Amino acid sequence: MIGIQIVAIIFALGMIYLSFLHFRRGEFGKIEFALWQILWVGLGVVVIYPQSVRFILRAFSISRTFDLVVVIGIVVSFGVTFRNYVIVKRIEKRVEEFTREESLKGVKK
Amino acid sequence: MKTVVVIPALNEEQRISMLLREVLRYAEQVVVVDDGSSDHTYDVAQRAGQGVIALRHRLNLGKGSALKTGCEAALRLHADRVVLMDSDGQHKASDIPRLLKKMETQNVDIVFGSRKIGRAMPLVMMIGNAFLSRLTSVLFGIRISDTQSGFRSFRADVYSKIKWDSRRYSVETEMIVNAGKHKLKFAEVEIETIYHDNYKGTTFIDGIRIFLNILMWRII
Repeated sequence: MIGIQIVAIIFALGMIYLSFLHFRRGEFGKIEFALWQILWVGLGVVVIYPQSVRFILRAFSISRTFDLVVVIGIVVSFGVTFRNYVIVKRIEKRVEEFTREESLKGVKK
Repeated sequence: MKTVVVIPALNEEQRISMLLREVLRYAEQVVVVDDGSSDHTYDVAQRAGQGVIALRHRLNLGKGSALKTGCEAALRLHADRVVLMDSDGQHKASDIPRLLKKMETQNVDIVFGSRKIGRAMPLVMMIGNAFLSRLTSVLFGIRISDTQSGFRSFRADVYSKIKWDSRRYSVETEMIVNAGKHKLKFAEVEIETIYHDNYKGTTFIDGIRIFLNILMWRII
């Protein structure tokens, strides 16, 4: 096992524990918790057995498992960034509307 | 004709009282929007007496949001004309009648107060202002010599046309862009400006944000 694999496994184990903590605090539902666990365990499996995803590599004409992980990582990062942007914008708008309505309470229409 | 002056304020407990006394000499009603100040701006404005309506944002939302709240209040108060001015004392209340007079005599929808370009204006601000002014002129066909001045007046019935989404310092430019898009009649009045040492207005970074926003407003 090479160094980068050990780092990735430690990272996946850390994320499994963090997901569990969020679940225990009630911040994740059961399904949410299960999905995150599948993701992190899946990452661990791919890191330990890179040849297990060979069929995907062949289907997309990718030569190395590492390249596949990088491509998926970039795609997921963009997706998550976009989602976070939309959520932040929505929250900002709601906070602004709420704050404005509250401040205008005393002013008669 | 009812005129309501809207003043967004952030941590201005030292200056707001004097400013309100001055403004009340020229307008019957003033709406002060305390945008989440950490000092006693709201309390001072509340004690300023009859004619002053003090509103408070529990959180700091930005100048654009505070102006929007103030304008919504002005409409609820059945204003015919709305005057916007800064709370840091850089604008002279004695210029209010000049803005309103220009609006009436030239029969325009909106009047922009433009600061004198001279030694008093910081160099970076002067260059940035000239550039943004040229850009809005080229992209939207509306030439204002000072796009960043917060001192302006407009007819209440055009508020829906110039209404902005900017929460922070892009608000002044967005107002001009919207006026250009709706082909509103406008005029400019040269105003006196006093620059204080603890300037809290547009910074260089804000200037870049405004520039990017102008390009975005053109595309969308």
